[in-house]
Amino acid sequence: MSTLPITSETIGTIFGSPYRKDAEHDDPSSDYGVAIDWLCEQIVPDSFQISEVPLRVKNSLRNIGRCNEWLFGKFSDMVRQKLNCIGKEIDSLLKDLSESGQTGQLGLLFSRIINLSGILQQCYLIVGLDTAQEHLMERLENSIFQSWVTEKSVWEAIQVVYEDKLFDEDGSTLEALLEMSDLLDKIDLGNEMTQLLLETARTRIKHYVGESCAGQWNRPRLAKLLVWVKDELFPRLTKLIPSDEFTVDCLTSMTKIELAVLRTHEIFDIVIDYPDSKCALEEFRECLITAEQRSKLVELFIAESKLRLLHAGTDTVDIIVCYISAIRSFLIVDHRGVLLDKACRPIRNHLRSRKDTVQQIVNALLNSTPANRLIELAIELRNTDHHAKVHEESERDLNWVPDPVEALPDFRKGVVEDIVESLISIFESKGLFVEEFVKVFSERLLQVTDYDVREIYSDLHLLKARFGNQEFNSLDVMLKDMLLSKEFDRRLRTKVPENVHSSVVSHLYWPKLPSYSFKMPQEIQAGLDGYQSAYEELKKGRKLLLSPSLCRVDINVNLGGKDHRYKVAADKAAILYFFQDQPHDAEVKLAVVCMKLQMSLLLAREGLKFWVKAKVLEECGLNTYRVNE
Amino acid sequence: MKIKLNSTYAIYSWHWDVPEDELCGICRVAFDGTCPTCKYPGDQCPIVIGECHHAFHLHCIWKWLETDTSRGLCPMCRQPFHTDKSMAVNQGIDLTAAESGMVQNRGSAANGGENTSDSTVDLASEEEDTE
Amino acid sequence: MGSKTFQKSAVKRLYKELKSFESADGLALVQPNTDDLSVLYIDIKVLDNPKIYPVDETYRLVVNPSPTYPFDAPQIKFIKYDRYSDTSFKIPIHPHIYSNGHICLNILYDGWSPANTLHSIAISIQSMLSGNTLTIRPTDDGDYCSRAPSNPRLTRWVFDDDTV
Repeated sequence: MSTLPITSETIGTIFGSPYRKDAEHDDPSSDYGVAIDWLCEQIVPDSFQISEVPLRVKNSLRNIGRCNEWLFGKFSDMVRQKLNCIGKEIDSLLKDLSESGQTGQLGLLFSRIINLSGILQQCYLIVGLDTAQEHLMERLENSIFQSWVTEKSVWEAIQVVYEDKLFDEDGSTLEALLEMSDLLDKIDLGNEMTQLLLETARTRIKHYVGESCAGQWNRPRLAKLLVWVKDELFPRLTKLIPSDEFTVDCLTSMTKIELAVLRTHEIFDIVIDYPDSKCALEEFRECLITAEQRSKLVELFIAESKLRLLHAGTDTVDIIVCYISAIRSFLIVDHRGVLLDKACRPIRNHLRSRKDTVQQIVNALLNSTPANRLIELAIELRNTDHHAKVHEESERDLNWVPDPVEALPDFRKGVVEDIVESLISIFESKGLFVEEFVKVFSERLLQVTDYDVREIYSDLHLLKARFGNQEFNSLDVMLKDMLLSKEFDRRLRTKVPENVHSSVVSHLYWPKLPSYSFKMPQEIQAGLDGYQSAYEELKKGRKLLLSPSLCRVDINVNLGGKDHRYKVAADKAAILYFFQDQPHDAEVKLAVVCMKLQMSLLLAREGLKFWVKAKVLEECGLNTYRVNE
Repeated sequence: MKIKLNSTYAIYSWHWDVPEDELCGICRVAFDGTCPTCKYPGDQCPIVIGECHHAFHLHCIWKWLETDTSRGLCPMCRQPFHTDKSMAVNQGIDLTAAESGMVQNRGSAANGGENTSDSTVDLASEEEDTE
Repeated sequence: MGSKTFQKSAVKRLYKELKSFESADGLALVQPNTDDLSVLYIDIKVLDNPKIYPVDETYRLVVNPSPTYPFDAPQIKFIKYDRYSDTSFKIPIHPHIYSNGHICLNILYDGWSPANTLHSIAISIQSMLSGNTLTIRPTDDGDYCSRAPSNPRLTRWVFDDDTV
């Protein structure tokens, strides 16, 4: 407002320290004294109109002539002292204000300032200040008024008024705010007021964002927010803030920042909620702009996942589920995968340290039934689009682009993008997975009794497409064993009883086959002997080794005239055969079963339990059994 | 109670009937595995036993006997290497024929009987091709 | 780089040997360049013949397996200087070891068998030193070294002494 250059002289003029003392001028009966005294009486905060200038004052002023240095000095000195006096009164008024917490007193303060300012204007006219002097006085005035208004409790009260009334629909409150703003503008607090208004607007936005967006992730929110900003918030603020000071864009970016802050705090739950939270994530991306926001997001996600996910009690599958959601979610927020890479490292490290991670991933890849909680992996494995993606890092990749600046040194884009690849890459070598595959395939293949391995074969094909051909030598041999076994079965048909079949495995390529020995029932053994000698006759120089407990038999048990059919392991059948060979109603002790069948206690107990449950045997005493007939 | 056996399904593992060592002295791989160039054990990578009772993967010993350094000697005992005709595993193997290039076909000859038009077996032979 | 020309059988067997070589009793197998199977070192200490070979003296054999290993013998000789580690070595004194590092030992040449391993060769050479009583070079040392090819396998060896 004031444009006068501030020099030591002007400061001296305003604050009147280095005054030359002069008897004539200081004499209260002189023209100066008369004029200043009268003016002093006029400056009171309760009125806004000066009384008519008395004749003696007029005369005195006429005698002095134009407002000289002496008069101005006296006048400004008097005004400063007088205002400071009034200020002290106002101080006590303000004390009431802060104690009562009422904003009503604010109006009183403002009306006093308005009054005083009006009266001073009139005084300036009477004294006949020139333009420069008037500017100096205005500065004096403003600095004193400012000190009243910016006093902490007053300023806070103003803030409260803005917060309360700014978004009031009532037209009269707007008028009151306008008055307040005008005054602040007048006493040269325009910038501070704008600041205050923007702060108020931010608070308002924060509340609004919180109210309308918190926990709402499944539908678009941002567009609605921005409409609110443009149609409601902005028009209201423009009435109070000069429009050249700010634009709707300011508010828009403020809104996006607030939404980003909200989503950052919600990130862990948003990830958990994926894919229902897709909408929120897409809007989040639009709002995430600065590096600071991004690192805050990573930091918070890591803290939350450590707090809520990564501890011993959590199920491995749950962690993998969360990791997959995090991959999907973070890729929406940041296509480049840099945030994902950073945010998920603790999860990856944790999974690496878990014993059953590989097993769970392998099971999930191979199980396409709805019972698979990680069925996504099975679907992904069967998604043939990805198959071209076996990563061969070409040295001369023409599409090569540098990694993003924020990326960690060992960031690998191709790896973070692909779910299956992400999981596999948790572990340094694929060997662990292949081992596990061999285990799972072995279990599946050993269950096959009809030589039908087509499903397993197609699974193997999918794995090769994903892991590369070379890794699966063992599995190739295992499948080939099954196919050869089928072929043998066909060729041996004329030499071997119709009802004996077999898988012959190349033992070095299979996991160690569990094998418990026991005495095979004669009837079963006879068939096996036939098969074995036919095989050894056909395959000269080779011998066969039976895994007795892996043998399975299909039997009919006739109990009390009724036939029941069972497909059981040979050890279980052996127990039943043993009972068949006992005299009717014989009671047999567990130990006897073990001894006669040369069977381990564990296996015998398990077999007996099985037949008791099937109601074929009954436990007639402690560890004593008989046929339930 | 009366039990009637409908069918039996057995799981066997096969092993070469070799008197002593488990490893081929040339490639240091187990006999029940393959020589370094083969993928499938068994018929495709058979073993031979010499009169000196030393056994090798057929492909390994054949490759050795082909070299000048070998002078037809067994790598283990440096006796002239001849297959022991009395051993069942050696039946049908003729190392002199082997040297004229027949031996490589031996595996597939034995295999040829099995490789019928059966579609599932074809799956496997298709895989061999990709190796 | 060198491994690329190696046959599959050579690569598989050499890796097996690298993995299973028991570095003990004064023997150690070293691969100076990972992924390169064409240059290997065997370090030998003679622990039981201190009169001729100080216990803490290490002798270094350089081994160059051929791409057809184990069907061909690897090229093996003692070296005086290793450029990878910039270290000097001594050639052990022995009536069958020439001062250029070449070793007159039949299993390294005509007597090669694929049943030999780097470990068995190392043991043969070590015991050759252990059992030695003579601090002399072969009689034709000066003559041989002046005309010898750098690869000892190109020499026509005559083995007149069956006791070593």
